[in-house]
Amino acid sequence: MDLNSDLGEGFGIWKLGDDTALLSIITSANVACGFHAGDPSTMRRVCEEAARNGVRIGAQVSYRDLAGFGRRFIDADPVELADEVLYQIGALDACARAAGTEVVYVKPHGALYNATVHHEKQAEAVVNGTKAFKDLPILGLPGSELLKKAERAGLRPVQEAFADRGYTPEGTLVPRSQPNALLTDTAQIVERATRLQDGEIVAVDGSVIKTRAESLCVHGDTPGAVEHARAVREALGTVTSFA
Amino acid sequence: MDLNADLGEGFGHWTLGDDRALLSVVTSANVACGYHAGDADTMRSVCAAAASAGVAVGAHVGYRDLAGFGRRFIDVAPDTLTNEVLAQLGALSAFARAAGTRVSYVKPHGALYNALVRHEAQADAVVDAVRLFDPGLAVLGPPGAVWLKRAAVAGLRVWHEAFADRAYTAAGTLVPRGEPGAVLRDLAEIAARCVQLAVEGWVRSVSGRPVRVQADSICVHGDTPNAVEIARAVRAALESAGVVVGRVESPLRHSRAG
Repeated sequence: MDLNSDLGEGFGIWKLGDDTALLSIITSANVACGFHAGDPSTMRRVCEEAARNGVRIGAQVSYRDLAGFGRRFIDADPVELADEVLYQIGALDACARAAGTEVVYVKPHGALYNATVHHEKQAEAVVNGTKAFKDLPILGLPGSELLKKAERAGLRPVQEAFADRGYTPEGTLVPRSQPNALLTDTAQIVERATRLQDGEIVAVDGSVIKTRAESLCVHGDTPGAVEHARAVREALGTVTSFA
Repeated sequence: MDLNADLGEGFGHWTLGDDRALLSVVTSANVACGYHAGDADTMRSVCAAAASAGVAVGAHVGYRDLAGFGRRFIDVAPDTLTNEVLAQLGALSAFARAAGTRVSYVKPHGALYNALVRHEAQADAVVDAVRLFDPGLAVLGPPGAVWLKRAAVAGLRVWHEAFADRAYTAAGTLVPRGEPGAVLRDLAEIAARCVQLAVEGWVRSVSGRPVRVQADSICVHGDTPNAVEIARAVRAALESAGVVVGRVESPLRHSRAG
C-alpha cells in the first residue's frame, strides 16, 4: 500500500501543514505547484526533503487560484487548462531534478480533483496536459472520468482511498456538509487502513465495499492529522510507493 | 499614547497573527490592503472587528508583492505607485465604511516603509496618493523620514511612531534587523522602555547613550511569535505609569468626512 499526502502548501510568508513530519511517514508526496499554493523556494525545499526521505514526488496540479486555495471550481477553457497542467508539472519537475529526483505522477488538487470526477472536458484536459509532458500515472478517485480518460489515453490510472473520509454504501465519499463525512477517531482510521490491505472499505452504514485502491490519502493540515497518519503507517507495517 | 499593530495579514486559506487578541490591546490597526497580504474577506472582517472594538483603522499600504509579503524593495515608477496606493486606500476605505468606521491614517508596510525614509520620488508618489484620496488623512511613520517631511509640506497631519521591541542607534534610527541586539525580547525591558519613551521622550541607544525619540504612537507589531504578550505588557506598563492609552486623535475630532 502507498501513502500519499499533500505537501508544500505554504506560500511566501504563510505556512501550512507539517511537511517534515509527513515526509517521515508517507511514500508519495503530492507537491503544490504554485497555482493554489507553493512558491519556487517551497517547491525546491520540499523536493529536496522528499528526495532525502526516499519519498516519490507527484505534481499536485490545480486551477490558478491562490486566493481560493484551488478549492473553487473554475470554468477554465480545456486547452488552457491542459497548458496550465503542463506548466505546473514542468515547474515542479525542474525543482525535483535540481534535487536529483523527478516527478513520477500527477494528482489534481481540490476543486479540480472534484470537477474531474464528472467533468469530461476538464478530465481530458488534465490527461492531455500530463501526456504532453510524459506518460505519467494519474492518481484519482475510483470511477472518476479522470481515471477513465487516463486509461483510454494509455496512462496508468491509480485509484486512491481516503483514510479519514466516510464512504457511502455506493463507494462515493460522504459530502463534507453531512455528518460522518470525516473520521476523527484514530481507531476507525487505523481500521480503514488495515481493511484496505484486504481490498475492503467499510461504509458509514457498516456495509463492505470492494476496492482496488493502491494508495491511501492521509492529510496533514488539520489538528491531529499527523498523529493519525503516523498511526496508519504503523498499522500498515510495510508501505511502498505505487510509482 | 497610541498603540499600533499590523493586522489582517492573512491571505485566502492562510492565516497570520492573532487579530482578535491584538484588537483588545491596541488603539490603532494597520490593516493590510491586499497588496502584500489581506483579501476582501479579511479586510472586511478586520474593519468590522476594529469598529466594534473602537480601534482606529489605518491603511497599511504595501508594494504589490504577495509572494514577498511586501518585504522586497520594488523600483516601481512613481506614477504607478501613486495609483497603487490610491487603489489600496480606496479598497480599504470601502470596507471601513461598510463597517461604520473610516480610514483615519496611512502607514506604509515593510520595504515601502523603509524605502520612504530616503527615496524622494517614491515619497512624493505616496504623499500624492494620500492627498488625492483624502487630505484629511494622517500619515504615520518614523521621525526624520523624507516622506513625512514631504507630507507636512503638503499639509497632511504627521504622526510619528516608535517601536516597542526594536533597538535604536545613537542617531535615533533603528538598528537594522540581523545585527546583534536589533530586536528586544525581554518583556519587562520592552515595557520599561515604552514607559520611558512615553513619559520622558527618550530611550537608551545600543551605544548606551540616551537618544530623544518623539512618538505619538508605539508600534507593537503583529506577526512576531509573542506579539500579543508584548502588546499587553506595554499597555499595562503604560497605564500603571499613568499614561493614557488612546487613539492619536479622538474619533470625534476628525469626523468631518463622516
